Amino acid sequence: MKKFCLKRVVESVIVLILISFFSFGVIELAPGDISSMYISPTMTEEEKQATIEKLGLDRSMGERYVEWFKGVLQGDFGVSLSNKRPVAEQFAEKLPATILLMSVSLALSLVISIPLGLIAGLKKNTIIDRIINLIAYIGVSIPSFWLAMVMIIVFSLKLRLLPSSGMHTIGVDSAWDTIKHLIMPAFTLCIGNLATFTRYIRSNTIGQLEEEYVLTAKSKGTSKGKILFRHVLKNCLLPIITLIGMRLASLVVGSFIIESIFGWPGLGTLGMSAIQSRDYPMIMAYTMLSGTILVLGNFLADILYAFADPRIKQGMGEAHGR
Amino acid sequence: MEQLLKVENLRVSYHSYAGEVQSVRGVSFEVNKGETVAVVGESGCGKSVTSKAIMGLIQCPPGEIKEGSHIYFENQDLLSFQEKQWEKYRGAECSMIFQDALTSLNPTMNIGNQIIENITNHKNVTKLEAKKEAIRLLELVGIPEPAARIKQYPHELSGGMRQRVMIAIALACNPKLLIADEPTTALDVTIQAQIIDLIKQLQQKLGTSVILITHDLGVVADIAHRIVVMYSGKVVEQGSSEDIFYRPKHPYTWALLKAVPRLDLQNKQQLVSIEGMPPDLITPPVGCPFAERCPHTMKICQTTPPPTYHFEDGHEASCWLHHPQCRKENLPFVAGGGQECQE
Repeated sequence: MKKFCLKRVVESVIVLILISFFSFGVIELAPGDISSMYISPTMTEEEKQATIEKLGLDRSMGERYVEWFKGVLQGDFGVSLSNKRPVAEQFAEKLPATILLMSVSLALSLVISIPLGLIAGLKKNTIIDRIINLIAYIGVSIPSFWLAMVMIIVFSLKLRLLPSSGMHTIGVDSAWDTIKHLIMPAFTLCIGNLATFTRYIRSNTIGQLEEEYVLTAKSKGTSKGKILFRHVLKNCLLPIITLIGMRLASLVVGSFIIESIFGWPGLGTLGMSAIQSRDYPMIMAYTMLSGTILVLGNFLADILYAFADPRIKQGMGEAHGR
Repeated sequence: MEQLLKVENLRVSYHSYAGEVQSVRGVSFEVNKGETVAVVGESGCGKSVTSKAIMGLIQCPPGEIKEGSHIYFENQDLLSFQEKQWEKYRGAECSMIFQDALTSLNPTMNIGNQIIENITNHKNVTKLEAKKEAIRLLELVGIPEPAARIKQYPHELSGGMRQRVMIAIALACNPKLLIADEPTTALDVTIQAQIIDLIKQLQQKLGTSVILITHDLGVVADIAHRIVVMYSGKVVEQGSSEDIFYRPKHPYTWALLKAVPRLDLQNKQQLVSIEGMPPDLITPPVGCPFAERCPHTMKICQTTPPPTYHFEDGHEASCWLHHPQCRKENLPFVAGGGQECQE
């Protein structure tokens, strides 16, 4: 187990370094020049030169990457090009809002998808199953930005039930107010995961119910309900742990669009403006964050899986990981 | 001897896309208290379906238990049971051991809890008492260090140990009937012998009746009191172990006995097999199901199903060879002497 963890940590670090190098390169390769965002046509040649030097853009990409990397090792993510404030500080401000949105939407998708998936699996090929399947298909296919706009039109403009943007109403500071602001973005963000999880749990339930241990449990006189909750549930939720680990990063990236639409004061809005202004220290921090979450999510999923499934733990002890 | 179980004219069909598969076509046999009955026959002859019917484990649909079938357990007709009654019966009155203990045990639940589950399903005991009982059961089935083992998971045990755990689960509530569905098929030969020995010992110790389902006649020889030979969903012959091994009456039983590998014959001798394939149970043959593969087949075998002939001590066989008018020539065993049963 220890060796497994160590191996994964080393792997993760290598992956993160590669991510940083390639994303740095991608920003550099993007058409246009970073400096053009900060230079106006009215500037004189000297002013332009001064701006470029101030931004550090007169040096080569390699030099800037090494400098950036040294900074990161010391916990310094640099200064934003557009507003000259430290990147880390801005992230710290915006992170709580994003984490709130992410966790609520993840919890929401799990709370809804587990019973839906179980019911669909149990009632395989009945009308209930078909209806749940249909909902799941719709959920997978709907573009979230479209759903977000439709929801704003229906619930904010027509029904006037929910606020269309932001996290707080100005001057109001109550939990209920935040919840009201949270409902639409959290729901929009969860709909894709919700549909995927439901379909996974459905097929797992069907598969597990056909396993022979279910027959054994039945032959002990265990009731249907107990078979489902004591035996089948755990075995069919196990693969979902891995799925969540992989989905964590997509929740951050997914929040990009949703946060912009709903004006949620989180990282998504920040990232969006950073890309628009070619603010590469900000973009890098953003990429590194989602990369770290992805790597960490998978790592945690593996560890959690080992604790939940006794078979894996033994495998890790003997073969030192997959 | 007192009768425990009586299967009467059991007919089970499975509905598939290709049509109705008549897996079990009128099976009748009895199990007395404290008796071991072996049900033998090749794959697909309906022996597992019969055992599942006795446990009430046939999924309907696609399965269907036909009208007129009866399974009496202590004079109660099981087939009239409601789900709640089944739950009380399964595990407490009648238990089952399955073929492959690895897939039959829940991989993510430790074996202690899997045994305890059966105890708490039927008895009103505390968790601690159930745990003590589970340890006792593990000791009973010959698992060393039972107190430490109950925390282990199925994958941490060897195949033989897993099957012992299955037996411990099955015996947890002292059932009156134990059904072992090919309990040794997934094990290697030495372990097979150990498991059969264990079942035999426990059967003598606890007085449980056992139905042993197998396709291996060698396995049943020293454990079964009576043997039921099944072929394509029907009982073709049944009788005491001695009757089946020394005085077999049905050509299928003859063929099965010839197919058992023998140690006392020469090395170079080929293993004997039964030519041909068992009949398709979607459209079962009109006459005797074994007629196609039987070396002694006659015209009547193709057209009319044979009646059941009764010999001494409950030994019976369904074969036209025992008809008084049949000429008994070139038969490997003595035929005839039976009385036709009036059905």
